[in-house]
Amino acid sequence: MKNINFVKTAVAITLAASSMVAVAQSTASLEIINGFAVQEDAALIFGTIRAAQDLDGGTLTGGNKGAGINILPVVGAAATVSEVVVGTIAGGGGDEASSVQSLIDGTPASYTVTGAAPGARMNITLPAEFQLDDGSTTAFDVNIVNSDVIIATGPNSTAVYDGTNAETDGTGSVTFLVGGTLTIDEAITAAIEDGDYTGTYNVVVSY
Amino acid sequence: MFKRNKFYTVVAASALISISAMSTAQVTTPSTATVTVANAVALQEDVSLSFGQLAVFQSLDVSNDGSPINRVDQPVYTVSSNPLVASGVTAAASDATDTVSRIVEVSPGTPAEFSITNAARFTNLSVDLSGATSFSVADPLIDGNLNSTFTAAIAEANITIVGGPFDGQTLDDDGSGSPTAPLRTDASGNVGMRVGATITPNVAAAAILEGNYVGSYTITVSY
Repeated sequence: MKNINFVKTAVAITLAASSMVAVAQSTASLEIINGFAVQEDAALIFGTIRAAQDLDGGTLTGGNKGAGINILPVVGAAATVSEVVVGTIAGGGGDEASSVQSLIDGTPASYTVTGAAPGARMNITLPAEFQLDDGSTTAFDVNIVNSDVIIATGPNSTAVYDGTNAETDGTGSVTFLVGGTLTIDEAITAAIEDGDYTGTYNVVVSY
Repeated sequence: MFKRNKFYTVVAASALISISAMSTAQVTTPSTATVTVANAVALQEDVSLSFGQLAVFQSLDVSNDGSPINRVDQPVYTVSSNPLVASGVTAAASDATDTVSRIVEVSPGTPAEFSITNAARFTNLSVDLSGATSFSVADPLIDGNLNSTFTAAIAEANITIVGGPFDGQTLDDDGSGSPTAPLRTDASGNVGMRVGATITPNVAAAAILEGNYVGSYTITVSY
């Protein structure tokens, strides 16, 4: 390599001597790293709940949901778990009811972005409403909005995600926590069987 | 001369960066959400109800065919669920011949103890005593008419709450008393109750024989 350079340099010198214009081509290397990684560190768990819904002939209409529970992440502490009261039940026979109570509090999901550019603002695209089922019955709806997402690391740590502030730190990393609201599906009209209910969703991160 | 060579190199590299950036700046992470539904409340009998040892004497005021007469009132033995209140006998009223049935406590009874767990915290639970308001206590080894020798009963007044915000108070599940004292769970979703009862010899029973008398009842706890 050194020898080749020496030849080129010699040519350049020759040209300069004849026309006073020197043009040389050299090579250089650069590693491009545009890809980054997103790791789900912890899954979204709504915990153990008591859930009951008896519409007594009524209906949850107009987009109303049954009772539910919300998990709001807190950085460095247990999430805030709050109960969501039932929407309006129309036309019930008088004994209509819907309730959810937390027996063992759930925990938010956690995601870590690595390998991105330092100081980059990551876009987090949350899923549309999705359902949880026990393999036979779809009993719950889950909704996740920006205000359910808390940034855990980076320059905006502890801030609620506002669509633009998921900024990576000096190493190109940022961690964010994802909670959400679980509600009894409006199609449930009677008792909810004990058991585990599961659903899947995608979180998309880009920049 | 050296600086000019470097400039050309940088231009070429920049073009490569632009092409790559457009193809790999998004990551989709499949995720899972779960919830566990546990609507069933765990109700466990830790200690069974015992009426202790009693001496029971039925009135011998009988007619010629042996059927009892004048047993218009029978004694009642109450197992207290309140540690501050002793169990004891409420005597039968005297009848016309003053030969009333009697119960004498030999050794006191003890209340049943129940623990409720896995319930929602700070939540009122409903106690259904319909399977305990009147049940037979009999000696299974004795046949015939004697096989329902006693009638026992459990009412709200016989139940003392253990734990939770109404610890030590008499159950008032239906809100009939003042202040009311529902069976309310604590911060861990737990609560307990001591269950006493009353027992009285049946009017129609003949002389009470010695033996072990047993009965069963049902208490249901739900949201």
